[in-house]
Amino acid sequence: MSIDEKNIGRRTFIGLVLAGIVALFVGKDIFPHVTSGGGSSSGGAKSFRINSVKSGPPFDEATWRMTVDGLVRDPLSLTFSQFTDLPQVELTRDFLCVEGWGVNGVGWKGVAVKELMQRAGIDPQATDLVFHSGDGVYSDSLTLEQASLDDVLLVHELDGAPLPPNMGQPVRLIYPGHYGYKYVKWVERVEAINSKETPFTGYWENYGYSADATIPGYTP
Amino acid sequence: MGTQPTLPSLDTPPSPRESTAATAAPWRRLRRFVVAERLSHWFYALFFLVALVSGLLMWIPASREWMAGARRTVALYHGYVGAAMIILPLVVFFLLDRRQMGRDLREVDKWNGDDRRWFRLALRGYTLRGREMPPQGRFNAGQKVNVVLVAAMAVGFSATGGILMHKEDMAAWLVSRALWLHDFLVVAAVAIFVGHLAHVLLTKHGRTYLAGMVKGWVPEELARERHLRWWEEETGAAEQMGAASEAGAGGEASSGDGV
Repeated sequence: MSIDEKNIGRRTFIGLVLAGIVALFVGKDIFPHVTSGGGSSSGGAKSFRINSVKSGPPFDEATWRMTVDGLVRDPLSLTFSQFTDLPQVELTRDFLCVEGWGVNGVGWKGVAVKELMQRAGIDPQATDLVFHSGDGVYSDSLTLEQASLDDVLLVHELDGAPLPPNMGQPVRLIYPGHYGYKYVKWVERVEAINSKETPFTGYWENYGYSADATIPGYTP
Repeated sequence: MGTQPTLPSLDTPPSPRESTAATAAPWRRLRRFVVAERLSHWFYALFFLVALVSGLLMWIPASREWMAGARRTVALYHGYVGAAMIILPLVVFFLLDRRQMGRDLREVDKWNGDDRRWFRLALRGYTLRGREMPPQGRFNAGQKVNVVLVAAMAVGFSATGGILMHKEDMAAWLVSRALWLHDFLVVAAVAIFVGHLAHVLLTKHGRTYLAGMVKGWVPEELARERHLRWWEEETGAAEQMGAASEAGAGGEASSGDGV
């Protein structure tokens, strides 16, 4: 090695790797708009990546119904206005997709799932609720215990406006503290089942995702 | 032109040492890359394209919907290809041609004053304007930077990709930041890739470089014009140039640009 030569290649490489480590921890905060990967703290429908396995049906208020059936005493079939006339719950929660992006401080408005459970009268043999999307493909489930939590809602508004079509219009499930694949869009049917007699696996759970979907370290 | 060199056979590449003339003959060739280097380059390019396409399929909303649940499978293969991009250089280094790959690494690592000057001038746009540049070795400073950038990005992609592959076991804040950095690296990698492609496809000497990466040989003329130090080393012309210099000849300069 001549006196003139310097190990610039390895120094540059090490410098870049160190810069990458710093960027891993602070890059998203310093350059929030460089990519869409980190989600946003601004909230609102535009901050969401659209993650659907199939487009949902167009919303027609005249024909739309929310059905609650299966192992229930009094099956329900609600029009959209009947649904929105039920007691409304408003809350603000962070949304996080299992893929890593998220939206902070999302305002949701809708009906508590436990409200529908009480009105339909869940059969004692039921163990789970299955939420069926109107797209005919997607569905996921919650245990009755999970579904009874105060902040588990079937929402129809996002940040004060009706849900956009690609966000599940008119109604989607929210399950704060859990990954977005539990947030079934275009919900049209809630079915009470006994999971021992009729085992059910959600759409993404069939592909290996955990049925629990808890976000590690989540605090509301 | 200097002394008329002996014509080598076009069918069989000449030994680098066959050329001893102080000027380059356009019909003669120098071996620039061995098989291991070329295989490494092209497999790396193939893996990069597969990773890019599979990544875009998972990123574009329409293709996400089109793939539906198959997205998980695509994500899995995306991860496998990413792992292959890390394993490939190690396989080439340890199993195929450790000596040559070690030489490559040393050449990329070591920069002399000409390399530093070349890079500073390149940043000022001298290469784009075809201005004279300081003499370079087998890799010019731009090519060295390209190798370093690709290697550093491979580390970044594999680290963030590893976090994303195990996202369900990772803290949400870490997954979110890893995804951001992964996306950021994609933007940087695509910019470098497009620049690399544009350079090799849109310029005459770039196409010559491309042919060199396919066949392993480059015309001696290109070596002399753009990699004077390497050309001197390979042809033994340095001694002749030195002798000429002592006799009053001026210094040499080459022109060329990076990547």
